[in-house]
Amino acid sequence: MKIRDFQSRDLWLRVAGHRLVVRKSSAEMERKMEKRFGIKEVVAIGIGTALFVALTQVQIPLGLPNTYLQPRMAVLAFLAAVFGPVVGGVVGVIGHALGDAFFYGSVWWSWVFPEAVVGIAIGLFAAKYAIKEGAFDKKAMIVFNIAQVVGNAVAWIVVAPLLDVLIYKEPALKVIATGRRRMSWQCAADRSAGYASGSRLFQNRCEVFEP
Amino acid sequence: MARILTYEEKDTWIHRLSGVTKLVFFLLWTLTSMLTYDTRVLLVMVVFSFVIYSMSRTKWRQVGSVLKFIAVFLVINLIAIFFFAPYEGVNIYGSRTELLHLFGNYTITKEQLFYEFNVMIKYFTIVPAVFMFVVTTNPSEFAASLNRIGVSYNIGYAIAIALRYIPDVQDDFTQIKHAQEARGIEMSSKASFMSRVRNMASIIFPLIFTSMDRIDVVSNAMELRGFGKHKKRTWYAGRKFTAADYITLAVTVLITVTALVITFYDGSRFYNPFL
Repeated sequence: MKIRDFQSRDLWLRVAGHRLVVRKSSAEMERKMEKRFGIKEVVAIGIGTALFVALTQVQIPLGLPNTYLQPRMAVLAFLAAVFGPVVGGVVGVIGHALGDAFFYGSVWWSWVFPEAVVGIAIGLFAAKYAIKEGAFDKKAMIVFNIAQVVGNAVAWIVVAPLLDVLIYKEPALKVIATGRRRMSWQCAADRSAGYASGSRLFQNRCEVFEP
Repeated sequence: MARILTYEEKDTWIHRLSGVTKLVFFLLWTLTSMLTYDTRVLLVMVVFSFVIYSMSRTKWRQVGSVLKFIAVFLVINLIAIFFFAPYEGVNIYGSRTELLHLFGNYTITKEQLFYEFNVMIKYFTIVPAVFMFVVTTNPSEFAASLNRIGVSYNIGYAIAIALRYIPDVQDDFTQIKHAQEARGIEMSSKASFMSRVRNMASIIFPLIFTSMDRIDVVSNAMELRGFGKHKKRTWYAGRKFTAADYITLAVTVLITVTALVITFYDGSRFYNPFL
């Protein structure tokens, strides 16, 4: 950041010897944000979430117990790629939470947030894909696939099991800890096997084991 | 495709509550029933759930199909728990009362049955709360309420749109599916896995394009009416907090705290009748 960009309303922080500038609310910044998050994005989140939730029920069984191919993941990837990380992340969170609530009668929170990680990861490079401009070429496809593989891996191999531990296994409750940990690592293994075999649509539903 | 839960206009005290109140109730209620495994707490919550549910005058046709789906799911779940962890109950309650030997390493124990009973009534506590929240809360009013508790009105509006359009998107899906089936694609389990994936794509792509059209139409309409021009907006469907809201909130918090205290005071989430 150049010095002359600095404004009097900005907040300075000193973190570990580095000087950080946290911009509070400069008008310019807000105008930029508005541009990125306009009416179209609001509606995209709305209709996208509706699409995601409606497709929750549409699953193709893979033959393994509780493991399905979920077309809704493809929809999430598409929305994130077209509308960017904010839309991707929010559709992931709200869509998964609502879908769980409507179809399973309870919400498995530690799986809701990884969904956002996938959406954000794919959405971060939305400008690179230039789908709206009609230029989804070979290079864009490569970027997209790297983003989705990394995003999915981080989400389901790192974030989901981590949250499973944080949210559902408090140390005081050792009684059930062993059972659930076994379950969640098993899920992680299943998931990584799914991704290793090359499909971004894989997501198994270990979450069915406890409401 | 089974229709899912949607809001229906009725005149009960639950319908008249503000969306915020119902959201807080819904979140605290599911949180409590997620945390507790105390059978006594759960049973009280089940009774409460059903009383509130019947007060909301929800009809079977509103929730029936979803309920059947959840019931099937619950049964599968209970059986799966038994096969994946047949001695979970024995581990939890620290005793072993065998009832019936099945085969190999599988024996039905009293502890396991009791544990699975707890899992089952957890569903019974949460499901009516979810149903009640969804069928009694007007999406527009809910958006207004979210905005009132500090959520950006853009997000509030997005959620309202989502709730409003889920049934429409489901209708689109069914129509496209029927059209494609009329053209001869096979969506049942008769088809091989790869052809099912391909056939699914032939439904998903038209659905995505229809939805993109819908996004255009709705956002144009909103733009015409000046959505997002100002920092704040007023709400047609907004509702003021009334005495009933404050009472409901107070009772909800009271129940949550009591339930959690009863659950955790002896250091375990479980109520152990086998001691």
